[in-house]
Amino acid sequence: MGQHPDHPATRDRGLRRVRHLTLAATGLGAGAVVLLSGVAATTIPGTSTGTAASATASATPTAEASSSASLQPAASAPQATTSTTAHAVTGGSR
Amino acid sequence: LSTTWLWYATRGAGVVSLVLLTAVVVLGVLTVARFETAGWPRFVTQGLHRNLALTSVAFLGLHVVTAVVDPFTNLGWVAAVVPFSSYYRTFWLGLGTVSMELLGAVLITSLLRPWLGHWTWRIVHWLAYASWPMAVLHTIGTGTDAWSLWLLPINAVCAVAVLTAVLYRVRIPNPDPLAAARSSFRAASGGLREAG
Repeated sequence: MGQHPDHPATRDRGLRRVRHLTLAATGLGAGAVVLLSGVAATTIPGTSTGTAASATASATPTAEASSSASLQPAASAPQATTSTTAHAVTGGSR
Repeated sequence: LSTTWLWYATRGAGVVSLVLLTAVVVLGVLTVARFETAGWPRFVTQGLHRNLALTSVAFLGLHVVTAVVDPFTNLGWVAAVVPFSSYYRTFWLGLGTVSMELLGAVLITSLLRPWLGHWTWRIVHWLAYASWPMAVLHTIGTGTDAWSLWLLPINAVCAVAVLTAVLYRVRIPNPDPLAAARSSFRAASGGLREAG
């Protein structure tokens, strides 16, 4: 059975625990920002790794071409190309 | 050097902020439920709730600043303050702004608690229940990687944690064993004050 919460020893131990957990959360949070930034860099479409960028680039023209080729072939295809290029230059679609 | 790191930092800080906000909400619910064990007195829950709330706000600040200064979205400071004023993903970004401002209200009233009445503080504090789901929806709706394998489990764990805590709180009939005695004492002392 533990001591009463108002006991000085319990109180000191509890406050120390609060301090340690807060510091741990702050440290882990800062580390997680760096880690998750790295993870986001590999998964956000159109970023430097190019994994999702290639998916976007291949998906857009296919959809455009198959659905609207007979209706507006000249208008839709150049728009898709321009959009993809612009995102590639500025860092990808976010 | 590319400025895409700003966007990555925005995502990272936003997710960490959401996780911390979730922890704050869970600890807040446990505080109201008067949860305690032999090795975990109630003041530890309260202290951690308070400290993590401030830590969460620090990461939220990093999230907002990196998002605003990122030239890709070109949000501007007005969009960070005025809800639904951004041209970029207006609705989802607006939810984030509202969530941040509700959290700001909760934080400010908590800091000013000695000068506010208990009920004023408490009513404003309930806004946290609105702030958290808005933050979750903002996370899901704003980013293109909301359904990715790394972010989906984080969102799911946050949702399950808060729902479990709320259910735990709701299932406890009366967490304060002295509630009746306290309210009758308040009524009696109020009556005495009025009589005096």
